[in-house]
Amino acid sequence: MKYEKLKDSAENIKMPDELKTRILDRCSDIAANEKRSGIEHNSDHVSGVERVSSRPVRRTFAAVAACAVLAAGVGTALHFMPGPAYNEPSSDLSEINENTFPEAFSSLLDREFVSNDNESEGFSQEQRNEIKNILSEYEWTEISHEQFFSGAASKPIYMLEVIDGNSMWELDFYEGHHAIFQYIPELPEEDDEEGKESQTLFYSVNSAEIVQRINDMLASAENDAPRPLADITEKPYKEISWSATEALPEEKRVALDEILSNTTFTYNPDCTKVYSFPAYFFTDAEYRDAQSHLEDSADLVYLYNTGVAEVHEAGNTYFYDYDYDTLSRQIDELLFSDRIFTGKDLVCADMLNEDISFHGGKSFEDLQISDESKAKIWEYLSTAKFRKVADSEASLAYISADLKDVYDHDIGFVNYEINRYYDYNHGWSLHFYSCGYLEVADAVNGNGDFTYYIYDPAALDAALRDAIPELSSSYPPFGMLYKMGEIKVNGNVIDEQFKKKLSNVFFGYNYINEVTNDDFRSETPVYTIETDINDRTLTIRTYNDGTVEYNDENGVIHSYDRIGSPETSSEGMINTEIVWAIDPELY
Amino acid sequence: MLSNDTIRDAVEEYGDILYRTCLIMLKNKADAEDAVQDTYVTYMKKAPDFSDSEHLKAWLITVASNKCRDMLRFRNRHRTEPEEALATLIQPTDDTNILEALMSLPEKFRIVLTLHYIDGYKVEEIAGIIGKSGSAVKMRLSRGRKLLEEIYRKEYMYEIRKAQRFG
Repeated sequence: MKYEKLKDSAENIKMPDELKTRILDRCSDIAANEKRSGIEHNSDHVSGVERVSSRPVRRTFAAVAACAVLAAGVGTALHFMPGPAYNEPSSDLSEINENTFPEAFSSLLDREFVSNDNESEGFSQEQRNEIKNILSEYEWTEISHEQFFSGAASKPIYMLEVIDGNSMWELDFYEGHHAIFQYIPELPEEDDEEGKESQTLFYSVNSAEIVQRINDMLASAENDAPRPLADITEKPYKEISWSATEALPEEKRVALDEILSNTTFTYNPDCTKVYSFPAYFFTDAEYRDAQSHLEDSADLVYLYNTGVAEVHEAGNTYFYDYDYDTLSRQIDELLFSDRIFTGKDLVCADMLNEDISFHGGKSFEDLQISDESKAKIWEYLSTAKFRKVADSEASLAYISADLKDVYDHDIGFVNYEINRYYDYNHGWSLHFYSCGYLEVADAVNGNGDFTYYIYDPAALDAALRDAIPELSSSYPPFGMLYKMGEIKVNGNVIDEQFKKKLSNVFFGYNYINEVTNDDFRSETPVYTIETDINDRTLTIRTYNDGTVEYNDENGVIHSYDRIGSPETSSEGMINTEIVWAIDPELY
Repeated sequence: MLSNDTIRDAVEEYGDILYRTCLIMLKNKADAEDAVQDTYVTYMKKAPDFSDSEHLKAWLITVASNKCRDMLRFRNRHRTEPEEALATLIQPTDDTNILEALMSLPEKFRIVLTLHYIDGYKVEEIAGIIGKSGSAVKMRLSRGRKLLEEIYRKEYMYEIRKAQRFG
């Protein structure tokens, strides 16, 4: 095998110039948004929080050519002599016969490094014992390698591996009631292309059922994943929220533990990422000083305002659903009572009676709102709760939560703006970001006081929608996607969190101007979003000029041409906000 | 946050290796582009401080491979396999057969062989990057090599010999 050829071949793969441009543009955009937000980030040190842990995920590999894995061992297969009953792990397969298998392999499962075929996940002792039980319940009949190859064996559907020192044992399951047990006494060095001698046994066994049972067992274990924040008084979480510099007092820890113990966290194996802002952040005191860039040692908990908790524990990542409203109210009362404000504390009572501009949605169009609407807005704002974010908190949240989207097009959209300009340079504003982040600014030429608060986006939406009838045009006419069933984007099923993000993406544009057609545009859309509603499939298409189309229940196609910012359009730029908002995640 | 110039330098210096690694891992051009872009955005935002360029390179590869793993996990959970044929990813030549064989391997062998034979990392360095033990990496190298040879031999050498014999 000429690995030079592999290297040469791979080195022909070059990053496309368009990608370089795209990356640099994106980084520039983020930097510009950062500057606009007025937040400084001193992020000299990071830990490995971006490491995504590898929980047991069942996977069957379909790409391996027939019998490929077997051939390496076939040439050196040995004759096996009947041996005594098997009690101790053996370093030689010659002691194994039909009477001692699968116990021979099962005894190996107690060794230190045991993995499945996906990501070298270590099994718990309980799981190892369960695997032993499963293996022992089947009849294993040794067969010749000729029988093996002449059978239906085509590709490995599951692999169990045991490594001890420099030796390895593996039990591979194949379709067609076949399995192979292989022993490699000595692992070859990294540049030893010839490999070492291995010993192989072939078996006939109900492999499909065994694999299914192992997978079921692992799935069940996932559902029993550790509850987040259980017994917090025993955990090393000394910091609450994003950047508190003092350890949480003992009485607060105990009280917090009680609150969390009474909260229901439901493990959500389908969630892989949350596209929102962590309202609360728990970690240990060492976290900020972590120096290692390649280790995933930090235990972290994020509680998102979308009702998902993300827990990094012992190198694994788990996601849980929980009741955000209830828990946040309790945590705020316990820990942040001095940071809770109402609109009366933030906004001058008669501010809304002044000459203000109101921007609704993403179109950045000024809405002329009536006095009646202003009164309703004030009615809500004056009593709504806002939790202040300390200046230093935003920085640590930014570092720790990998919030790449906060200031970008998706969750970073400013859903609503209320601005009061005293003169050309001096302005005062409330910017409500879709992710639940409120920026209050009093600035001259962009410099001044910027304070940040956590707010409830759903409650604000409801209040403003009630107060300002014109805002109804900001709601996508095909409905809010997060309320729908299974949704596919370009053929890929998306999870619930992405569904919420996608809802945000489409929310806030001006959907008043529409054109109806008999058919979709002929060109290929950048994104096709599909979901089944009753007896039909709702199809939403977005094109690279920002146009959105969807089909209604009568088959009529509604088209919204370059929805979004008229200001941007007037500058001769094509509005591609929707495309870019979805872009980095699914393209 | 890092400056645009720093990002530009990192893109020029390590863009090819990251894109190559992601493409081999994900077998999908658009996904690979997203993974690389996300990696640089993470780099810009976290602005890690490294003592030397090799450390930076290893960090970028670690972040990129984690993002690939995340995307593969998502695909796996949702039973989608948006993989593309190699011919749609790069210009095929006689030499790309072995690359195609590499890309047909299971994920865990693919990343180890890529890091070792294409990017030139040693076993212990790979162990640090993918977060596995040296023994596990050694095992994967060994198994991956055998699988790769077998697939290459079965799938491609026969075609080559046939072509040579029958013109």
